Amino acid sequence: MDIFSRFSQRKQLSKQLHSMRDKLYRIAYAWCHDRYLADDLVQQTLYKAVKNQHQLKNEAALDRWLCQILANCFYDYHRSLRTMEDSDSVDIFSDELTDELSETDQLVRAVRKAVAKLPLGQRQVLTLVDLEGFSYAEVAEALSIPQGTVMSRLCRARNTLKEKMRRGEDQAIVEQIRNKVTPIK
Amino acid sequence: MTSDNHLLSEEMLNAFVDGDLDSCDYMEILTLSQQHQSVAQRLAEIQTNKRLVRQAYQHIPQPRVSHPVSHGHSLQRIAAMVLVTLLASGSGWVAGKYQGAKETAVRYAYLENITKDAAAVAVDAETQRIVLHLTSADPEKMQASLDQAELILAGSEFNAHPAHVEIVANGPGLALFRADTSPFAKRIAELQANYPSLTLIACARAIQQLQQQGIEVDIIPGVDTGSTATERIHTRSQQGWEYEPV
Repeated sequence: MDIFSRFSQRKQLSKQLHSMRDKLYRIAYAWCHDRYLADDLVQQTLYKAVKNQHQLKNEAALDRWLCQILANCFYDYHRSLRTMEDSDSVDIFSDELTDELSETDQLVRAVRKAVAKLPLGQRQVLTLVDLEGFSYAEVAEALSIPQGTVMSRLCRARNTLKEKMRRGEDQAIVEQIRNKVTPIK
Repeated sequence: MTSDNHLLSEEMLNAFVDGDLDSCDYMEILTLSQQHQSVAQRLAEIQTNKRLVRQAYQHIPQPRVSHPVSHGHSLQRIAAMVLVTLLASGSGWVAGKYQGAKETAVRYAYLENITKDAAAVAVDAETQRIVLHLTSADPEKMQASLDQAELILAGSEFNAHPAHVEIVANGPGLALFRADTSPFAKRIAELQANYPSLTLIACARAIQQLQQQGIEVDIIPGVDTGSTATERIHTRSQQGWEYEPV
């Protein structure tokens, strides 16, 4: 393969990576709920993707491959953090909340809080399925776990979420707005 | 699959809502949901929660830094590509540079989407510019970042090829640049004295977070505190710098 073909392929990949940035950022944000950390994780993910692009065998699986890298970056971050601080002690929403919140903002806050308190594995599965519409097989590939584990983690995540939303401090507002949500047909 | 709706597992109902069932199981659950109110309710609850999660992340806070989009090839870019091609296709002494040129090309492929400064590719062939990103307070990693910086800078003097190194620390990594916590304050002072092209950046956001927790943050003299790690890394990426997490 000549150098121009390589350039052409790399250019194509860089375009695809760029188009995936927002998607990756949303996933990263839903995992960590910190805009700066999410941006760092995406930056690292894209850097590693470019550096290791030869490892991508199937271009159709680019999104799963990127999620795999993102997940590894996040695990690395957690490992480095584990000895340093208790993440539960950090108010992850402190920089984006105001005193006066609309009903919708309160609901958003309640859901994000509940998601943030899920164990990491459950949080990852839930967000990939619910936000990005990954199939169970795709999640299994992205997170390198069996499909049965995907299903059980998703099930536990949704049950926990349901319970938290039912009895949390935001119950009233959740119930009020829940009625406004049109069920999926 | 069982047709007893009490024994329908949550996993099956989830799979139904997520469209992850084969058509046979799908039709069976659909029929059950029409026959049994309890099944319909369980499905509705899952659907509603799924919708709530989706809604909660529809508009998320964006990082302060925006990422500009590429606007196609400029003459500068084409010139840079030709230069890299020439470097890569040569022989003899140039062949030794081939690997470096290829690496530069890989970085460029990514950077071209976030920068229009194609001249950076050509400059990279002679000048090494690298950002070392430290996010850990592990003393071994702190030392590794300083070792790596010194290696590059000392090597550049040896080879008469200029090099610029920035160590950017944020999160727990900020400890490296805090006068009260850094185990390497003396070495940092020595490096600063010996290598003027070494820049040290303490993330403004990380400092602010500590201050919000009531912690007094005393940064080692000469360490820049004017920008966040993300901003700095992004800016340097735009300018064609290499990025290396430690």
